[in-house]
Amino acid sequence: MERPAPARTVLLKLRWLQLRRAFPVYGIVLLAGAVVAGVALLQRGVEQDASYAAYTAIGALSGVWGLHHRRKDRQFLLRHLQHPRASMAVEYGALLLPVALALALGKAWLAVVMVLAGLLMPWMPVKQGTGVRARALRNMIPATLFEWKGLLQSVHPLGLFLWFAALACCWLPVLPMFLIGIIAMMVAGAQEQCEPRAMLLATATDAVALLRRKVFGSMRIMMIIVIPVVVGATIFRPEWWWIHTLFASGMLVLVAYAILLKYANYRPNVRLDANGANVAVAAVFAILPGLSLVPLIMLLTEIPKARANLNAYFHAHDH
Amino acid sequence: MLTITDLRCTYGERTVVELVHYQMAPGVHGIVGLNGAGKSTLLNALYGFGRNREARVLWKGADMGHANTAFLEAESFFHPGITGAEFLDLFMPAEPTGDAGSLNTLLEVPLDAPISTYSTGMKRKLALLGALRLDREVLLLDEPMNGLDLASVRVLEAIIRRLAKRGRTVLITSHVLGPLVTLCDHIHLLQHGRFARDFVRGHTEGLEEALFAELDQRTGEVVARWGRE
Repeated sequence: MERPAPARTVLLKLRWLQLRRAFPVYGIVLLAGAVVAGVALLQRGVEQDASYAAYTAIGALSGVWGLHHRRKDRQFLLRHLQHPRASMAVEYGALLLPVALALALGKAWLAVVMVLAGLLMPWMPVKQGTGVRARALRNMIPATLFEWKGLLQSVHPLGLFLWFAALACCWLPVLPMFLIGIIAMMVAGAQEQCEPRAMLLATATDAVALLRRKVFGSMRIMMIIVIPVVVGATIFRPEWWWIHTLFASGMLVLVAYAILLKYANYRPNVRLDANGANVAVAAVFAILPGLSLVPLIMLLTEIPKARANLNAYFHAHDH
Repeated sequence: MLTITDLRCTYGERTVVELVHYQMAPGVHGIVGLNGAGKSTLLNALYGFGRNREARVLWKGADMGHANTAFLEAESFFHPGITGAEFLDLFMPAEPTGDAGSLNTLLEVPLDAPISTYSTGMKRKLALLGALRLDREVLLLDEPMNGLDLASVRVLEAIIRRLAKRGRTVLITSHVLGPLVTLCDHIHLLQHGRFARDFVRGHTEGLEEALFAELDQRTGEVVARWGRE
């Protein structure tokens, strides 16, 4: 007897199952509450400033584009589901629905159409590149900052697009800093993966030298990314110079904190997913006015921990 | 001369490796033993890894450190998203002597491609190139032939012979006896965490019997019982 083909909602049901396993009932209720609150906030934002609608639509579309192009089960779904593209479209629809709803309530109809265009994503061609991305850029990065090279491999050309977009939108309020914030979070996220012991020991001869090389090297690259945008944004809004400077410093501290957090918890070959939550907390403090010192304090507390943890690897030969 | 004194590695209450005093002359040393004999634990301890270990390891009379030693671990891991060439860039020798990069003309690792696209064998060869590039006096190679094709094993044997001629000390573990017997100047049989017997090149008669004696006995008993049931 033939089994009935799975419906187009199969992926949605799967996600629901995953959600049920990941969270208790009250967690799902809280999450639903957060989504409703998010929709209400977004609606108010769009009603107050129409330009938010375009930002939101582009952000949502980019998110789904990235999700679709990087999903690892794509080939599997295409091979084994009877309606793979429709199933993916239903899944993306569930993700885009709250955004589309908020935009519709805010009467930003053009943005709604833009967001709903995300449903067509599964029918668009996906380039599964196996080549090296951003070869020229990664050649400029020192060998010891291999996290940056790995980052370029995973986010190029999106990262470069965000940076150019930040530069091109310097005349707008908030958006350039928002885009720099996204780039900083990407850089911080790249610090979650721990390298093997051989790579750690080849990077430097002791813990202090390694931390200096990693932190100052990454700061240098971050400054190359951040300074042109800050200068551009400040030219258009000179009265905001202090906000831009504080925000940019906050993003630099955030990246340095992510690096120190990685080495404070370093274990060879392990991905430190839990660090993401700490970095997110630091990021929230970094953008809140008056609280930008908090990530700096968090960073300072991680220095001795990172040194102690790395010493266990570097001085391992002291028999 | 590599001198190991008072080496003791434990997992909980169980002692996995224990060597009171042992010396190894420059050359190629094979360490053989069945699974769980303590081969990888021993190499890790010699390199200074492993939490529950005590050891005094001397190289030419002084403490052997990472500056003297290169270590190829049993499993090959790499940071995601980087290429083979970017990985090798990290492993710069103190003095630019023998160019390990040129060995790649034999090993044929696609260095310009992302490591994520490599096969298991290619990853093994890349890790090996990294260890060789450091050009250290002592090389600890944990199962270097795992995942390698026959041609690469042959190249690796030639490389190790050349290293021995240059006065390097190479310690290799393997669960495959064949290549070790032809390659090594000395073979040390590790059983129950101790070197039970040593064999010299050309006089390896009895190695296989010694290695498998206990296993053969146990296998015989179990198989005989199984046949009766």
